[in-house]
Amino acid sequence: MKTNLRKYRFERGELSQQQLADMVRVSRQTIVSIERGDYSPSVKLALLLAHKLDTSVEQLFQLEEGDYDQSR
Amino acid sequence: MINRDKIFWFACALSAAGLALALLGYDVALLLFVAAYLLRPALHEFGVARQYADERQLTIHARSGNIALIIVVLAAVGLALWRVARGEQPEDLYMLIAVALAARAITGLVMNGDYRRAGAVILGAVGLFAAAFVLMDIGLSVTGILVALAIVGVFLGFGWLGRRFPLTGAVILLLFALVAVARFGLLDFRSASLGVWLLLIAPLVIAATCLLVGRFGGDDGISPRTRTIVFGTLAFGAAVIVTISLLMAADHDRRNPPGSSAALPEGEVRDVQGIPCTGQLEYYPNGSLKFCTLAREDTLSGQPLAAGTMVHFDEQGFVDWCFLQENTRIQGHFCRGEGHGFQTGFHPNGQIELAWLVEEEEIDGVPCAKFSFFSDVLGGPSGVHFHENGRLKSCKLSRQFTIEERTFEKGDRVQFDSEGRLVVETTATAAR
Repeated sequence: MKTNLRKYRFERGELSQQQLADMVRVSRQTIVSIERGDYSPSVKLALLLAHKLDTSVEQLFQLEEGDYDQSR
Repeated sequence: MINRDKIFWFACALSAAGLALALLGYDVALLLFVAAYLLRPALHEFGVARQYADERQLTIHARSGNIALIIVVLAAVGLALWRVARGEQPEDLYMLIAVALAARAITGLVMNGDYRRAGAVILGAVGLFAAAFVLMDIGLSVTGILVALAIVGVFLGFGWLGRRFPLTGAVILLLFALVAVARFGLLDFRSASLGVWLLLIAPLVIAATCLLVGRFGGDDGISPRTRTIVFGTLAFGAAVIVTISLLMAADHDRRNPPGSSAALPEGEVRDVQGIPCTGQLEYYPNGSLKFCTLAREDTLSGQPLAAGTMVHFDEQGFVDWCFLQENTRIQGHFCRGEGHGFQTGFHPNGQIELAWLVEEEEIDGVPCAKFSFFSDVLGGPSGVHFHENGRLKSCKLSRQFTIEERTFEKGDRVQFDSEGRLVVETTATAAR
């Protein structure tokens, strides 16, 4: 899964990872893991992140080619 | 990541207390270290402190818990096999494996959220366990298989009824658990069988709770918080029981120092204080033999015992109890030796003190019942006790019988003094 979290974080006032983490009440490490692609957030957290960054979930996260193969 | 929150500081305090106790030489320190280490994941799993962990951390806790369980169970299996190869007893490890797998299975069932089904499945599993137990006692025979099938049928049927009438089912299960606790004398933790608590009583209580939650909450009528509190309390209760049992066992060991032990390589026979021993050896602190398995038939305290009999001695060197390798006639009584271990006891003068009969016997004119699983579970232990002079002390009656003009029913337990006079009668409440 591809994520644009880092890009939107900078576009919304160059928020630090800690600031964004505090806004959605998770640890900074969780934001780091999401940006690295190591962790896929829950629907709830994805919606919260999108809300706080004033965008949509689809803009923040997109499935990649290989992800579609996994569903078969 | 380490959160310096309340849990962190509380865990630090537990660790510091554990360190202090360890320096003072108290083994309970280990318990505090474990508590400190498992505090955060345990609180998260019981839903008490979710605010101190986000969803990724909870996922990590869950996955690491799964991996840890696999490692612990595999390590226990490996250690058990290693002990068997050395001729040592692996029963405590078998218990650990059984408890770990049972806890995993029950937790998975409960977390599915279909509580009535979970209660019924847990009952079915208890039925299978009891059937296997009975089959081991009776042996792989037509009778054994029929009885085992009947037990499984009863538990499955009860589970089915519990799904339809959960309140009634839950009440009956809780009553059954209470009766079992009273019958087995399980509140005396030192003599209690942890296995009975964890593999029979606890699953019954959990099954009853599942039926109750399913009855009053349905699938969505009860809040997740309430569910967490209910099952968290159950888990906490189980943890308290295990802890108390272990602490009391440790206290018992401290009062009765185990001395040293040694394991002979498989097949090796050693003559210890005149006794041909194999497998695990245990000694008292004064150096006298405490426990060994007979490598060949031998006569101890005047009693011929078959090879493979596990014999326990008192500090003066007298046999005080043994696990017979096969059904054996001892001082005229046919004693059980097969199955999962029937303890045959002896007085210091060599007279038999406790026997589990293979068949009904008339002892001192009293019809005493043989051991049977059903009779023991439903009517209390059927062990036969004797006085030092060889007279019958107590037994469970195999049929209606009149003593000193009083009529007792089949299954009643009767007790006599050393002169053979009736002193007390109960309905099978004597401890094993």
